[in-house]
Amino acid sequence: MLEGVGYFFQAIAGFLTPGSLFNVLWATLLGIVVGMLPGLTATLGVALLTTLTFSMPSEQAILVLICMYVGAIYGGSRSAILLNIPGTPANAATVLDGHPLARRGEAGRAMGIATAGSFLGGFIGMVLLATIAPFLAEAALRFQSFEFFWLAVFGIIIAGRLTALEDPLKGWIAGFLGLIVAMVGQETIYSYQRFAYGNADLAGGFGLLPVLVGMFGFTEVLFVMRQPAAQVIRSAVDSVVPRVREVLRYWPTIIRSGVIGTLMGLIPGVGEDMGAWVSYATARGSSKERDRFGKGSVEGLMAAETGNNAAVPGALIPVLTLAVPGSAPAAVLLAALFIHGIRPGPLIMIESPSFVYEVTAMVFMATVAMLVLGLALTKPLLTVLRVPTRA
Amino acid sequence: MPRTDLPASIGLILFGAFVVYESWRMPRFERIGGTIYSAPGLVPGILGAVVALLGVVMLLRYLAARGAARSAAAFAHAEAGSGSTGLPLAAAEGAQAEEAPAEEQARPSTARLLWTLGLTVVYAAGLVGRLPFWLATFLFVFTYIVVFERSGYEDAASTLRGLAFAAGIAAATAFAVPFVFERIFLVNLP
Repeated sequence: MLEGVGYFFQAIAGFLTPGSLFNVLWATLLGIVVGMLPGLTATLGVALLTTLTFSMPSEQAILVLICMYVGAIYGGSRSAILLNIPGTPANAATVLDGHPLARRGEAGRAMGIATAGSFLGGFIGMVLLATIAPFLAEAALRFQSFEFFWLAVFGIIIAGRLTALEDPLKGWIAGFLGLIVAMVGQETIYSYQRFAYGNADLAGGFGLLPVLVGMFGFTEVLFVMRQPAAQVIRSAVDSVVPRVREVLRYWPTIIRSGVIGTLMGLIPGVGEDMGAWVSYATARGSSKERDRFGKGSVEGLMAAETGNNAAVPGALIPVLTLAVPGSAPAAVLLAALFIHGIRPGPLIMIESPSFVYEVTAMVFMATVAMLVLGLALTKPLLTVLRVPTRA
Repeated sequence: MPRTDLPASIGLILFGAFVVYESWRMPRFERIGGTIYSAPGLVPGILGAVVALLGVVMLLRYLAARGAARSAAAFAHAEAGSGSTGLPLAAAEGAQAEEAPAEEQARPSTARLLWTLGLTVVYAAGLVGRLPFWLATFLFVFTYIVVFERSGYEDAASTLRGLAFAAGIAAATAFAVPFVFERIFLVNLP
């Protein structure tokens, strides 16, 4: 354990060079921009940056990719709060309480809370990554059909309960309709094309990105164009840096969401969006201010953003210790590790024990850069709200 | 209960039944050793049945709520006839009247919604793929701005200004989007 702490601080010292700090800043900033743009995801950002970092030394290349990953998951909260459109699927839960806060003229406060939540979630995930990586990875591999089935059922149930606590029926209907939409395309056993009717495009099924942009982005456009009156959201009296008291008030939610997000990221194939949703649902279930959820609850926003960013280091745990990706961006990162000559897997703690702590240090650098850039970019981004919501 | 629950629940029942029927028609691959559990239609069939069932629940709930509302209104009429304050009648009439102003408000904005939907469908299904992407995007953005800003075109000068503004925004969009995606992100556009 002490050896690990030594490796961690050694790695931090190694990254405090001008070149590394410059890489951290531009990669995190680019990640925030990619995450902010609906339709561009963390997976796409990491994939595109992999090609750009071929010629870089391996530790710098991995540092850049992790900064892109962390920045993109956080960046989606910007458009979720300001525009009611999640920048990435991981920020869909942020929309529920982030945008109502923006509509109340508290967009700066919302973005500050989201930044703080993301930072704390990343920090908690980073601590768990460093301390219990090998043990957690072994437990996650034991997830089989039954466990994944119950996880899917849980996802449907919270779709209803989060939509409307008093009347979840329509939320459940929406959840099952979503599952039917996912049935379109080739099934995995016989490659039979379900509901394609000879159409080659439908044979491949509905891609996640077109559905995400269509359901969130296009719906928002239609909704805004339907409004009869021009509304400019005024955010004149608004704080950017969150009050420490306000953040610490919800410390049980922050720690719980951080742990949940890390566990969700740890399970292969689950990812940041479930980290956000499960954290949000748990926070809502145990909150004393339950009726505020969905109407601009600071606790809800904090839970969602803490959960999704905690899933990032969580997703790196099986990548490093088992060579199994915890999420889609982590899968691309795994490929990048192999490209740069690094062999993740069960033997990594024996072959290069310091590498896990170097990755922990990279996550730490990316998280700090995200905090700094996130708070610095809040005021300029508030100008988006000056755009009237109807032409 | 909103009035749209009735057509929505009927639609869900019909859609669920359609999914179940189509799932039943899917092959089961018994000749190559397939079982019921590996049949392609099993999971969609279950999901279709669940959606149809939830549609039935929604329909029954709507009918029960409408029945209760009618009973309340009838009770209120009877009370009013016997000389009581008639407050429940006012409440029932208020509840019914509440929907009328909402419909009045919705009428003007439905046209904008339909214009948005129509222009976007024409762009995505009609223009993209048939014209160069930059040209399709220019035409879409230009037309969109002109359609929704036309109320501000009061005279020749403001019309020219408005058209120039629309053309400028459209040109900038038509340049920026392909540049960012194709040159920076190396993603091919249609």
